[in-house]
Amino acid sequence: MEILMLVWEYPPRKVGGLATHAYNLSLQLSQIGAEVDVVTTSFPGEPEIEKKNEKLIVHRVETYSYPAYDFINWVMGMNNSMLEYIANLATRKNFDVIHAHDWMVIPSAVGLKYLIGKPIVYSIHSTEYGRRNGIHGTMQRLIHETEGWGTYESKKIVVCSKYMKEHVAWLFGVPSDKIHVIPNGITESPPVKVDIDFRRKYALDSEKIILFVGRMVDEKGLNVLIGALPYVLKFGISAKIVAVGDGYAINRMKETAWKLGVYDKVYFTGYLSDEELNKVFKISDVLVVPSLYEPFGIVALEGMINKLPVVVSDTGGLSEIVEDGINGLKVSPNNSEELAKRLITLFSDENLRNRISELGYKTAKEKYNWREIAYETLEVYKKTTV
Amino acid sequence: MRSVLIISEEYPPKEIGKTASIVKFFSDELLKRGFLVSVLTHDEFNVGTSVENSIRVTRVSSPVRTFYSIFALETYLTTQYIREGVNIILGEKADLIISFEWMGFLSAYMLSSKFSIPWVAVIQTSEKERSKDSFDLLSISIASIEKGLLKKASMILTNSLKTYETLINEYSIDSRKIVVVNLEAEYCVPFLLSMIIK
Repeated sequence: MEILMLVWEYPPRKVGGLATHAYNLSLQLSQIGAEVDVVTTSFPGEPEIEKKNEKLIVHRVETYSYPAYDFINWVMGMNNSMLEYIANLATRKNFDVIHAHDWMVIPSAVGLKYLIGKPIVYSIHSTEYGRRNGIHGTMQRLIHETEGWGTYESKKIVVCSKYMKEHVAWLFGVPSDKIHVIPNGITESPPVKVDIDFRRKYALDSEKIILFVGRMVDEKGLNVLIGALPYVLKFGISAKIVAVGDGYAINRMKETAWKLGVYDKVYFTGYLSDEELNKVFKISDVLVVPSLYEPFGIVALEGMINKLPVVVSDTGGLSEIVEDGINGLKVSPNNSEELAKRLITLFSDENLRNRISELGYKTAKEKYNWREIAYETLEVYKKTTV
Repeated sequence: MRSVLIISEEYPPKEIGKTASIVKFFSDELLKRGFLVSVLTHDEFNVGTSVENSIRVTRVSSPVRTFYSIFALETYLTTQYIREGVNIILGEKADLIISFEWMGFLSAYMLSSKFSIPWVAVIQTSEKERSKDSFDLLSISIASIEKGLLKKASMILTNSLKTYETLINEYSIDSRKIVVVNLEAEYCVPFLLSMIIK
């Protein structure tokens, strides 16, 4: 089976989690017999065509000939470049399926669908409606409409959780039998050595490290976690939040910490390299994912695969990953007090911490491996060609 | 019977500039010479296929109704031109594609590339001339489409010597495939056909 995968970011270009997802999926697909051509955007220093293995070729399309004055126009220029490129590629290859990741490549996918008469599989990793809690402006409306158009034009839709399946079915009026749930996967990070000096960069020896990893945007709920910290400290537990990531709401988060009198107990690290983040996982005592909206919640799996106990909001995909009290703890979204109580319970009960860490690791390792995900995706491809 | 597929943003009754009347003139002249003529054009309200004076006209709208920019509209319309263009070509096996102005260039190139059909691009003025001193980022993008895709056309028709010079000097296009003609002269279409269809 020959697959054309369209995705705007692919390593080494990594902006969100999409690049990692596309990389792992394309690699595993190529290792179980599919031939995959990935078409993505160019990246400085990277070749236009890169043969990763006998069955995986990455095509990086130059997009800078369209120096757009804003994000939407950049996306349109990217699609023009992709269409021009794949018009040529499609004359040399005989693709069976076009796999489009998110709305940004939908114009290319649809144009190609009509040109070569092959079906689209559309992976929706999140929706504009969900990301912004509604549609509030022209740019968002265009993105929302493009997403809806993509659901109409595609033969199958892949989402990462049951929550997203319901959300997409509701939002775009898509028949639910068109939507398939395939979770994201996780891979173990390479082993690293960390010592006490490294830990001291982030916290005092006496402080428990409560780790947050994510974009500093409202939907990620960091302010809920910061709101829980005074309760934890008041209980007599010495703790510090290490908040990794960046985003438009970072100053508001800092302001919250200041107002609650815990500014010195929240360390905003900014963006960290994969290597540094891997080490930070190793020195942390708990990972908290306090999201208000979370289609999947890959960061919870990152915590689990690093054998950290995880505390997550009972929302979206997180609800499906974590079984409360078994492989993690769940709290109601947007409830700092409840979050604080669960953290206090966790810090006070070593057996609980050890048990959920072990089971969390087992869950991540066994249930969310990329090989299995590739097989499931291949099955969806096959259904489009029947 | 030989057939021609024409792609143009404008076609009567939608007339913004002179393009619509030139496209109509080309269509009528081709019809007179025994060609089956299909026109693909854009209209946000009057959508569908109709036969108008023996010319088949298919009007498509953007699948995304929110207007954001002319550049975004071009991208969305390209997908619709491809959809309808493939239907027409598979049904009638077009012998020639003629596209008018930059908004139809990408779809024309893609169809031409897929089905190995010669593509003639018609350009009255380039973006470089149109925008002059206000050559902003949007203009650069449009000029990039013109520059990148016109190089791939089998032949380029223009009615302006200035545009001819711009295409050569600014867009680095091979002068041998650019023809300067009066796009509304009676000799224009037979001349074009003699150059393209053997």
